Amino acid sequence: MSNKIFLISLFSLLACGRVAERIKVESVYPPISSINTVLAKELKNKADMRSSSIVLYPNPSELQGMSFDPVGPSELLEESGWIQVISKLSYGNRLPRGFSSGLDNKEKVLNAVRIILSVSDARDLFFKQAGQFQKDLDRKQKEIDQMQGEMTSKYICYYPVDNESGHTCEIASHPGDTAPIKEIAENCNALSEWVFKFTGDDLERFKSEVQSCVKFTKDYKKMRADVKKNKIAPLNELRKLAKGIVTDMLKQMELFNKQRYLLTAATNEDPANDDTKSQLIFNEDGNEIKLFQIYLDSGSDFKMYSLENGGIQKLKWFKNSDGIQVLSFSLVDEKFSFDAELAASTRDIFDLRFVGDIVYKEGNITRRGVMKMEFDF
Amino acid sequence: MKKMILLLALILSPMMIWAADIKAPFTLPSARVLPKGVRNLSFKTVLAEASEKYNNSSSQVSVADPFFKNITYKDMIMGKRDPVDKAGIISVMDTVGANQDDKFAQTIGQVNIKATAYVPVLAWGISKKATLAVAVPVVQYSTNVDTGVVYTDPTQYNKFLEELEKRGAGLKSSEFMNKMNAPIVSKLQEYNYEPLSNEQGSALGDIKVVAKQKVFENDLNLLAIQTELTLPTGRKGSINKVINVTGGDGQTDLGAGFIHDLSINEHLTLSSQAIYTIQFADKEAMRIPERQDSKLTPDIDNNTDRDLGDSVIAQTGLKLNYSGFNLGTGYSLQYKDQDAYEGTVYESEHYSWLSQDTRQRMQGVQFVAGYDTIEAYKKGQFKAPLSILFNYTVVVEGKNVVKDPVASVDFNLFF
Repeated sequence: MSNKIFLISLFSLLACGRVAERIKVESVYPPISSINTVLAKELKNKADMRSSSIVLYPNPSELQGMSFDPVGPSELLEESGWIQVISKLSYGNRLPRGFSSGLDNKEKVLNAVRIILSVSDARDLFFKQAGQFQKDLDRKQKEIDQMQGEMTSKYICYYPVDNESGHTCEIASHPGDTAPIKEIAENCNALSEWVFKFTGDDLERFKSEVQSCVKFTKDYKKMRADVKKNKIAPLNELRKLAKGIVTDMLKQMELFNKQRYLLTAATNEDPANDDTKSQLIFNEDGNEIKLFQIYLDSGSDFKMYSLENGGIQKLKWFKNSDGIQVLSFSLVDEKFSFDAELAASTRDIFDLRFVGDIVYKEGNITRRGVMKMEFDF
Repeated sequence: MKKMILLLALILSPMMIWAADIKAPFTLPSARVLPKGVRNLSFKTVLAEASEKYNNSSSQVSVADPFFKNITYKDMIMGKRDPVDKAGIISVMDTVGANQDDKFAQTIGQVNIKATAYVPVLAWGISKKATLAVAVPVVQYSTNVDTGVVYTDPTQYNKFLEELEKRGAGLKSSEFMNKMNAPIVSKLQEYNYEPLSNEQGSALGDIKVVAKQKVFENDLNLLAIQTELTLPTGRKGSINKVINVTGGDGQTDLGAGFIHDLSINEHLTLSSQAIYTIQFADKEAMRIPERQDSKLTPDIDNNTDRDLGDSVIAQTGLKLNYSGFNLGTGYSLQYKDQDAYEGTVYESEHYSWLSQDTRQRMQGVQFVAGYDTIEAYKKGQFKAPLSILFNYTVVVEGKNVVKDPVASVDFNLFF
């Protein structure tokens, strides 16, 4: 009995290799989101850049001792560009108003970047709103044009004659006349000045339709002028004000420590004096870049950078593993360079844009930044 | 051999085969020493698991509890060091009208750990009152781990993604999606931890040298003093691993205490002991928390001043021995003081966060059963004096200790 107990015990001692049970936790994921990718057709005929921004973020140590207030010393807060811009954002009251000199340097960078991103958001908002108004005007214009076209093709002036009654017209060609003399009015206004030989109800109908067309056109013109002046123009002005806030902040930083924080590309919105504009042109299939040149004002120089002159290097246009169309390149200058990796996307049918981070190097300094290029459809 | 006293209980105090933290004991105390010139070779096999623990509030939680965490905007902001990245998240949060406490998801995880310690102990009666012993533990372990994420309400996630898409930040949105599908894995990679993986292996533990000195004996009482030296021979954990099954903590301990046996009758003994252990200070590479609630951190100080908390155990046991059959039961109370850390690379407050949840307490109840051949050997019915004991310890209450019970098998040979 003793022997058996011992043998069993010894065996149990040896047979003690144990393995932990395998585990599998069950994750619950959100629905898969589709990636916004550009289509080849959206890339065709792209040429002039509508707008571009290249902003370099300061390193914390560079802001030591610096303060910034987007409201100028002589400005009233409620009239300042700052308030005009941020009051249009739903979260405007959350934004920091610059930074004081005593604030921690990392907090200063955080505030500065929040301002840059919020201003960019505001500019997008104003652009979208202005664009929507313009789109509505364009749609209305099309309706007016269609109406005008219908009217002028409905009431053709046959055998026009200028007499004491005015510019008189017959309402139809003579029977058998295969090539009658006729005139088509340019628009309803011109149509209203002509005298057609309608009688009775036909005359009344003609007058009513022409007057209605003239009134619609007149009302539309008035409305268009009003929208352009009171809706679109203020939004464009707000866009400029918003841009001014960031430009002002970055320029102050540049003055403060003699570093570069803003690079300006020549575009439709910011043309150079000689009217040169940066361009990006794809081939028919949208899978190759035929031309890419950037006219850049770095603050100390204005130059053109392209593949041909070596200013743009390592250019790649590819779809990454996440299905995003990416434009990556290096821009190389004697004094500085930056590497850019930009994602291409379309936005709200308004435009095509390339947005992404850049890594900027100048001497021993490395700085993060962001670049955006926008093109009209 | 015949002069050997019937010794069933181990001459060693409860083995702390994993240093630093307190663990459930797997032997009952005994004040007995070996006769001069007699040796005892014992081989202990200790079976331990870690799936549940008592937390700082003495509540039972999963060992994987640190994996269960809500991901909020605040976590995402605090998890970024570069103010540019922080600003990016805050900007999106502002635009979508969210607040810092709004929740994206919850990370989840599960860990199973099984460990077996093989502890050969050689003890030698160097005099009729003193015994010296050396224990060399080897730990064999198996770990299994998996992590995941649960989105019970993907509202915040969708809003964040839509805003990034609206800004044309396609690369940021895909980076966000990839990270949020495996947040723990992403964070481990970002902070240069080794990836979580299932593991099996073995490690040398801390070698322990024990000296027991009998100081008083009469018909009923036996009193001994015991000192223990734990040497830092065990394999230490890696600061780049989230789950470590270690053989030791890399530092030296010195313990001292007393043990008392009361012979109630020829079969029944009541034993008790109290041992105080000092954990000496040393320097160690540590991951320093970047925030008070950090579970993971990229910050490393390779010369952190570390002073692990001293510990004390008070234990009592009742043993019955009858014709070779042994039964016993016991109770133990252990306490370990809070660890202390200091350093110069980061702010002192960050080092103080390492001390969180390092104060420990454990109450355990033991059950022992076994058989020895001493009597059979004396009668010539068995060739050698051997013993085998099975121990089972249940942790009934604790604070910052593993809750899982510990089982052990102890084989002894006297020669």
